[in-house]
Amino acid sequence: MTAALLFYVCAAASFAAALLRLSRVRTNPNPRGAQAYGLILVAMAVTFTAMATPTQAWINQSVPDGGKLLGNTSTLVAAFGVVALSLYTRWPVEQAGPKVRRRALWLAVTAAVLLVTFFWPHPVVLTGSFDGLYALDPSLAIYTVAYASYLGIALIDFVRLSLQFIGQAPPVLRWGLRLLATAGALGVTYAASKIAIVVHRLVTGSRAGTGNEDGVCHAAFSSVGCTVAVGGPGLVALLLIAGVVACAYSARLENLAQWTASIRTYRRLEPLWRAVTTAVPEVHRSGLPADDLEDPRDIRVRLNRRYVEIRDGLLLLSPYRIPAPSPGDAHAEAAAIRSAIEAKRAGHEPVHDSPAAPLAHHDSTVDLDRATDTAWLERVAREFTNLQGKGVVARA
Amino acid sequence: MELQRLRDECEGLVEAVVTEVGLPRPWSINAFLDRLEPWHGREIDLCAVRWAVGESTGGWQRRGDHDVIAYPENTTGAHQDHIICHELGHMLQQHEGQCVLSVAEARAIAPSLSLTALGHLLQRADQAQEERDAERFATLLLTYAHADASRPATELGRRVEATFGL
Repeated sequence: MTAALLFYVCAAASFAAALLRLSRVRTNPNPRGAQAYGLILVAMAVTFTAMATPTQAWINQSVPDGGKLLGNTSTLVAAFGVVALSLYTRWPVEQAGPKVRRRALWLAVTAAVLLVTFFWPHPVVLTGSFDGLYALDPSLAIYTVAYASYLGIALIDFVRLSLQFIGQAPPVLRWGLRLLATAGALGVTYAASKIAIVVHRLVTGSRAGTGNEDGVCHAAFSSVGCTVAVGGPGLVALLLIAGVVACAYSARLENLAQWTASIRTYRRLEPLWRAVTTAVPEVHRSGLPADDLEDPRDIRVRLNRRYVEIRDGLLLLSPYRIPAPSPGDAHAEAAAIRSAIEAKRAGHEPVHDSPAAPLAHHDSTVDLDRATDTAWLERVAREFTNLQGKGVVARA
Repeated sequence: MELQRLRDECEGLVEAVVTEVGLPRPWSINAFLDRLEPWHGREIDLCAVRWAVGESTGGWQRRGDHDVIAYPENTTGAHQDHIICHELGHMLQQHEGQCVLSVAEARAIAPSLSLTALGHLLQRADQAQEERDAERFATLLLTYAHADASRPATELGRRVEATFGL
């Protein structure tokens, strides 16, 4: 009953996620990809529902083993959706379209094979697992090989493409894609194992079923048959859900990580910013306060203003400073800034005559990008705070 | 109301530049200017000058067939980008500006340029509304640029993010 509840919860979550996806198709820059994603989630919802024992029991009242057919077909639709999604992501619509249509045709053929072989008159009674029946009923072997072949090849497609995607994605999304690729690789193993079992039963004539002699698996990984029939698909489903969830929340997690990093940097720069702007108050007048911007709550804007005001201030302080003896040393840089502030405050004449000497930070000629320069100023700010704590006032 | 209108116009200009010109990935001021020139309809020349006490930290001059932007060479590249974008803010908002340099001062800071080239530098330290608008332009544009820099750099990366991450 617990397992059934878990399947229904997964089905409901998949269906809710599908509705959310499909409602945003118009605003998605890759609408065909978003549609394919919605298809996967709907198919997963159907698969989870069909896998639950109460559903199977209900369907089986009308069509013996009909739950298996429904679950297998919806799994193939999900696999097609996965490939379509990957193709629409990898290629522009006009290039992906023909490839997707070929896979759709192949899906239709496979689904037809499944239907025909399933409803073909069977000399045996269908009881869920077909593993012990292949030698007695070759139509079931065709059913399983068709199913496993489509699934396996679709997943190989997906794993191949997702490996290309991983290197291009932001960090959190990369982890989600890795989980999906791992699920895909395990899915390929599952499909190959299904075909291997069919071949084995046909070649040896074995009638061994899944699990013990009664065909029952008491544990998901108790035997190779149980691993293929129960444990493997469960593990794949688990990884699939984890991957989908990780991908779905990746943008929010990335934004959260950047937001917290920006707040941390903003606060760490404060001692240096306060000292510099107090010494050179004209930097406030040269620009605009962050509050004058459209959305002053945006930490990125505030950090940007803080960075510019520090750099403006250091440029204006540069005539009062002696070049740091150890370029690249944040402690020496902090001491040089401190001494320049003290010199200006004391009313000393600028050290350098016009034209001004180069700004003596770690390497003024390096074309530092904003992130690198901000990280450097963060280190200088930390050293600056340490100097203040020690009460160092001597000029460098 | 007038202040709000000017602010809205400046923010509208930044959005137009971001949308119509686009921001290079990774961010590069030279690559950005290469994109901006055809949109602006005029060439833009950059001139590195050595900043000295009492001088403005950047400047823009509209010449007959092109624009000249001066920026200090003795600061970091990221800071230079901000100063250049500030001057682009003046240029794109067609500010009137003011003459702040004497001929001797212009010769001192940029001996390699003709004197007329830097005859009408705009002073960043000015408090006028034009200065605030130019500073707002630079701040917003570079906030966009740096936010954009954290997004995937390749077309495939953006498609992957759009498909799986949003």
